[in-house]
Amino acid sequence: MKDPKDSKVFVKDLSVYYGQNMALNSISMEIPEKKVTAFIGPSGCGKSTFLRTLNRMNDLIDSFRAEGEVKIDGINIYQKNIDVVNLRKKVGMIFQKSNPFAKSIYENVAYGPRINGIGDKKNLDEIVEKSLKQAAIWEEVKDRLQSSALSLSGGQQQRICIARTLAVNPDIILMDEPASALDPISTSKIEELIHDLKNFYTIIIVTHNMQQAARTSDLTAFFYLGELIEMDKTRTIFTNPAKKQTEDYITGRFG
Amino acid sequence: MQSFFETELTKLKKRILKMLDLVDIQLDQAGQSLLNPDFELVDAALKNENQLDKLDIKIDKLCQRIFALAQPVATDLRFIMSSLRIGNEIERIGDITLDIISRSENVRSYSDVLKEYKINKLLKETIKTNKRISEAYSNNNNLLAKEIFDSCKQLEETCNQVFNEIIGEMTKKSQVITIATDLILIVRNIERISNHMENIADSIVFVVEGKRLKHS
Repeated sequence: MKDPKDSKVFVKDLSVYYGQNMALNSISMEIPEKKVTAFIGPSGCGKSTFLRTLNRMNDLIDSFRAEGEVKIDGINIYQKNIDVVNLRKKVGMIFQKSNPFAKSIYENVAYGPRINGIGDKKNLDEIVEKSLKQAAIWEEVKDRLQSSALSLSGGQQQRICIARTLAVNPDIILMDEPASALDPISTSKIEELIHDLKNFYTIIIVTHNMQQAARTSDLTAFFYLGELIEMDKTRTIFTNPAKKQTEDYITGRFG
Repeated sequence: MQSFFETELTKLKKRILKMLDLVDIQLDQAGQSLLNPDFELVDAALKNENQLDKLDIKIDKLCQRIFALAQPVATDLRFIMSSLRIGNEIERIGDITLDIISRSENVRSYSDVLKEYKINKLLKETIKTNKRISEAYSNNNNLLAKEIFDSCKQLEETCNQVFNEIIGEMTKKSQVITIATDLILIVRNIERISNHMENIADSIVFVVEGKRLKHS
């Protein structure tokens, strides 16, 4: 393995338990900066659990326990003095179901910067516009920023959520099935967006859609029964994977 | 019960094997036509060739459909890519074999010369190779495919030697130029057939191992 400093995310021997159940078994992985890394695998394989350990979202579950190392920019995020709120600012997250606040489009995006102490309207306006532009939705909403975010379509709401994440200036964006509830047109917009965003952010995406992983990611990791079976360049995983389990899964001949 | 995808893959495999069977007949016809005149045989060879062309187009369409509807990956992707290539190679072999049949009329009466340069023997080698290709393709046998790849290279080498021998003869005796020209073209055709078979063997290895033997 390379030195942790070379990878954006460096995970070593990470095991995760929910009570007595082992959800992840000694995972070691390096995730490079400004690339898209996809996690694939059948339901219950641990890919979402793993994603959620990267911004300590699992802390919210009582029975959760992690062993091993998870370093982001060389710092172990499970060490005691870590400020979890700051961590989640740095490692943003997009969920399967879009979850905008019941507020205006503007307030959704301004919310993060505002609670981080930015009160100046001009400054906020700039952040909102920049974030909505980056999330490729500015043109669609610029004339109705004060409308409720809930009045938008599912695909638009998801992009508002992405803009809300971008507004707090994260380094890493975790995406848990970000397009699985969307129609093909909205899905392709999200995929294009992922492609553009990787120039500025490190993106990690969990998806059940094999073609989506193939289309959007640079690297793919295949999980099965809590173990990392194989991780390689996406083009290798989808043309000539090394492990039979990976081959069986991606060709739909599993089990 | 097979899934839609599995059924399409089986269909693809059957079509390629059918093409190989047709080429087997065609190569045999070429051998026959070098020995005896037979108009019916020419007719049969033309029909055969026509069937090969149709199958080649059918395989193209089938692969197009599989790509569009099933988005194949890994071994499946390599199998389909290779089958597409193999279909084209076999179609070319069919064309070339037909060329041998049409040229055979000019050389048939020179049985001594044909024997001297082992033309029939060279052609029989391709028939043998074609049968081994069917076996390697239907069983995804990469080891056999590698053997075929090597033996094709050897056959091409032998063809080149014979080619040079005939050229040598032509420079010495101007009266043999007419027959020698046809012979050269037939030997060149056999060499081309072997080269297409080498490509097929390469594609079979690619299905199993994900890497090419050629140019690597």
